[in-house]
Amino acid sequence: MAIKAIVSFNQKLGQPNFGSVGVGCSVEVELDSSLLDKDPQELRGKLDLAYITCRQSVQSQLTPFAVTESAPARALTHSEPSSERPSRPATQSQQRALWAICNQNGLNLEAVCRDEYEVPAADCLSISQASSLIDKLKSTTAVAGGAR
Amino acid sequence: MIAENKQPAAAQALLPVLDHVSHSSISCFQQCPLKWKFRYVDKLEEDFKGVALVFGSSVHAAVERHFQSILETGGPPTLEQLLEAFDECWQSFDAASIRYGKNDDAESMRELAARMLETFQGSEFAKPTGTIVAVEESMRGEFVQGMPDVLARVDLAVQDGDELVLTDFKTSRSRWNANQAQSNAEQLLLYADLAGRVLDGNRIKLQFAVVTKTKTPVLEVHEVCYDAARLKRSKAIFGKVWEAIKSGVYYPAPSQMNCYGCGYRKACDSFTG
Repeated sequence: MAIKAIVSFNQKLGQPNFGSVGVGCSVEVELDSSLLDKDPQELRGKLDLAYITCRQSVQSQLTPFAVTESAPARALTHSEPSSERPSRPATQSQQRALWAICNQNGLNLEAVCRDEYEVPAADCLSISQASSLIDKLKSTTAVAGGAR
Repeated sequence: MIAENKQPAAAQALLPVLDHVSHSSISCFQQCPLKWKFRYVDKLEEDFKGVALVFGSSVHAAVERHFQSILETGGPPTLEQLLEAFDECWQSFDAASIRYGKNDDAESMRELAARMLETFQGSEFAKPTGTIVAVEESMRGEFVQGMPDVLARVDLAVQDGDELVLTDFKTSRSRWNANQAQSNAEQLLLYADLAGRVLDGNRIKLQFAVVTKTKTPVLEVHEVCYDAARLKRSKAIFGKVWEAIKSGVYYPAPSQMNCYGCGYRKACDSFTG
């Protein structure tokens, strides 16, 4: 049996003259209900991924309203809505890898990001920070080679 | 009388709001404007999918699995796991719509994939030195002022010291030579232009990794020179193609090469202008 989860993320960005622009994303996902009993961690991981996807989509849509210089290239779904974000944020592949490693080892990715680099999420890491974190997690956790 | 250089209202109404364009959509328009319209404006389903497209996508999925696994675990997957990724992608296509070549079927294509993936696994390319930073990464950005962002998917980006190595993976019926690699360089130059703005690296190295679809597959890596003048030319071409797209003049460009594997033959035959 499937369970339905609705994941939603909204964000507002201040604009000149006291204006603002708001963007929201909501997705409905069907998940295997047996995960609730058998593997709640996997279930949380899937929900986390849905939230990350929503957040990245929202931030991607907000990018044109945040960029004041000539439009830079950006990795899809990566954007720089605030000055907290690194100029070259972690790639999607790195974020997927971080999520997979944490998921396999029962770690909370956002907590790991906070503890290691004092940032709220993986998409706030820079490319080099994400590479270092991946290496660190791989060396300290028992990740089975090649298993997915 | 001087005609007004104005986009016809009908064309403006016809052209959908495009969030982005890609190298393949620009190439598609250059190849046949009517095919571009069927695909990107009318969003017609093709009557069939050529097996080369399905096969290439599925091999790509397996190669993606390989590098993503190295990134996540430090180790490569087994051949069986690569074939699993191949099968998953293959099955995502409607089996009934795949058009095979004279001597091909699903089984023979899977056997070929196994040989190619084995060759890939044994190659130096499969064991990159440096740090993998992107696998099948989508990037977008302004390429030409006034046209929608260009979207690109980079197969593999590896950081090696201060060098960023961008690789595009290709399957090919025969081996490539250096000239062939250089003549296909536009796509890589575009990737370099976008990736250089979002990835780290003081120097960018561009290369194709080409594995042959032959009885005994061969994998070769061809480096491509970064050529600023050629990039500028590519941008000019993109700009002109975009102007042509905006003009709303979509006509068929029949040729044996264009029409043989085209999935829009029926729609094209019914075209009345």
